Amino acid sequence: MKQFSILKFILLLILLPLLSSCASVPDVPPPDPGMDAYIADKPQILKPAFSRLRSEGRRNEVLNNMRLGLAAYRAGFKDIARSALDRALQGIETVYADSESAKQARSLWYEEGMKDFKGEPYERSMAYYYRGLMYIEDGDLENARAAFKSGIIQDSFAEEEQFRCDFALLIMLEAMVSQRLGNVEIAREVYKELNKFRPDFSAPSDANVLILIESGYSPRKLADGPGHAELKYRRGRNFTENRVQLSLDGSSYKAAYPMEDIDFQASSRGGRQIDKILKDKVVFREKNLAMGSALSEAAEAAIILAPLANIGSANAMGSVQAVAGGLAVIGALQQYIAINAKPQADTRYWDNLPDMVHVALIKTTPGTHSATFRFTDEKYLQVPELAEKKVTFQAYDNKFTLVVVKSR
Amino acid sequence: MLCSKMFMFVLMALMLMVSGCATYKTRVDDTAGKATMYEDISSPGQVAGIGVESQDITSMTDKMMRDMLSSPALAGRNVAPRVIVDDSNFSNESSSIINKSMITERLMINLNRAAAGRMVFLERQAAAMIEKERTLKRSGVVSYGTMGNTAAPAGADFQLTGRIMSLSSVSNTSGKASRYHQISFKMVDLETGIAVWAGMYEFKKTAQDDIIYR
Repeated sequence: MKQFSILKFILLLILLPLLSSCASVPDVPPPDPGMDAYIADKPQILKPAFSRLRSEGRRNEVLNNMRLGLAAYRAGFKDIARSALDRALQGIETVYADSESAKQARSLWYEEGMKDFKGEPYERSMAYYYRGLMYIEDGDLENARAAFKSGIIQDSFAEEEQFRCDFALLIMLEAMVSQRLGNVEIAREVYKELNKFRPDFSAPSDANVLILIESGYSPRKLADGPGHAELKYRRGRNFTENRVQLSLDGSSYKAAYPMEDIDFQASSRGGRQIDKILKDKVVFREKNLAMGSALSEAAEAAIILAPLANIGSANAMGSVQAVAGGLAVIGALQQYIAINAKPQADTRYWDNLPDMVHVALIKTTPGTHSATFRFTDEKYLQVPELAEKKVTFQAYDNKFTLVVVKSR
Repeated sequence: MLCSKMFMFVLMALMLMVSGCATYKTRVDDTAGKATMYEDISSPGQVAGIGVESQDITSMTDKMMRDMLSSPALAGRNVAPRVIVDDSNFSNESSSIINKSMITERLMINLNRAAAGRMVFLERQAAAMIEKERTLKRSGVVSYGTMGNTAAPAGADFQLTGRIMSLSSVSNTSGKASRYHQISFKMVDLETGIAVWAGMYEFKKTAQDDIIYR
């Protein structure tokens, strides 16, 4: 008997340190020579993005390709940008009908963030947007238009046969590219659609320079509400600019058209179907926590009150206490199961997107031109910490020039 | 005895808690790879969407090829007509990003093989290369070839034109997305402008993403 007790004691001693060791797993990855070798020949500015792509695996592959593609595009590494965004789009277009990660994300015991990232509609649309811009730069206007149209579909929200979308930036680009391709009828129809959302926008039909100015930082995703099951969007932080003025070849400053508010696109989509699943997880968790807590309390009361009540022999009292002890264990188990349900919403987001995109469509003479940009707040007061930016570009008669500028 | 039962309860609870801890994953992606395997290009692959895919290109070009070869206006002439089949007049108006040459190249190569001389194909996209060689020959930098000379490169009788069009629809409630593709092909007489042959390939695909992406 004594030996058995010692055995139990040893078993508990073995199991308890195992539990405590769960909390001490280091968060910082150990040195990784394989990773160092992998990123050694990558451009310095893109090394962090390549490193994340490699280390975070398939679950974040689309997200990290989006980040890498955009960072490479901005830094002028167009080949890297093309292949990264193509891989991201491949992931977006893949239909997840029977995927293990999707199953896990639906299950009680895994967070939504377990699923392979495909992004929310605004992120998918923006991936097509950047790929489309690269097709324009490569002179492949047909695939540029296909990319913009695909971005529009990602943002569409209507039922059945028709789709409507309010992503004005993509609609404008589809119209503009169709016009350049000579598809006048298609362009007219798409411009009509744009006019519904941006009635005050007008552009010269023979424009040969498109200037896109990106301001601010990406919208953020936050998990809010009970169990952090509600996905909320917040505007990016640490910037105040949301308007842009530009001067072409030293002329007076004119306001660029604030064509798209990415934060609005993110936050105006309404609920997702996964939100219902997350809500059910919260209900499960709360119910089981409450039941477990009630069982534990009842067991505690029984253990305390059993000696005071006159329930007969010591043996009977022992039985009551044992049953109470069992109930306490079941209550604890129920609470343990409840706290292991994972209702948290997926808050991974494409963090190097802009907050807004402003547009200037210009018809100018062929040759070298310069544009100076001034970043302001809504009242057109210049943001003090942002210096004016000057960009030189070539304009052509028979070819479209695309200029992309970022405030920060 | 009761004490032992209690102990078993506690032990089971601890075991469960410990097994929960075992699901910790390191930050390094250690997923095992998968060996390369060949897939049939004429069947849907393991990764599929609603855009134009390999099986669409193969069945579309095969169908158009058979149709063209059975057209007397094209393949039944006494003198084999000279035909241009390339992507220069093949436009993509759809929402599917695609390399159009994949369609026109496959069509041209399969037609060329199957026509067995009933049609002759001109490689107009190699015009600069041909012109360069002709200039070198005529300036005496290189000798003439073994097949003699012509006054000018061959002119064409017909040229392929076509359009890829699509209509997409999305249902946000069911998460279903569908895309209808209509791909038209026309063989146009380059003297009269008459379309001597026309063909069309249509398909519609619908897919439903997992609920977690809706």
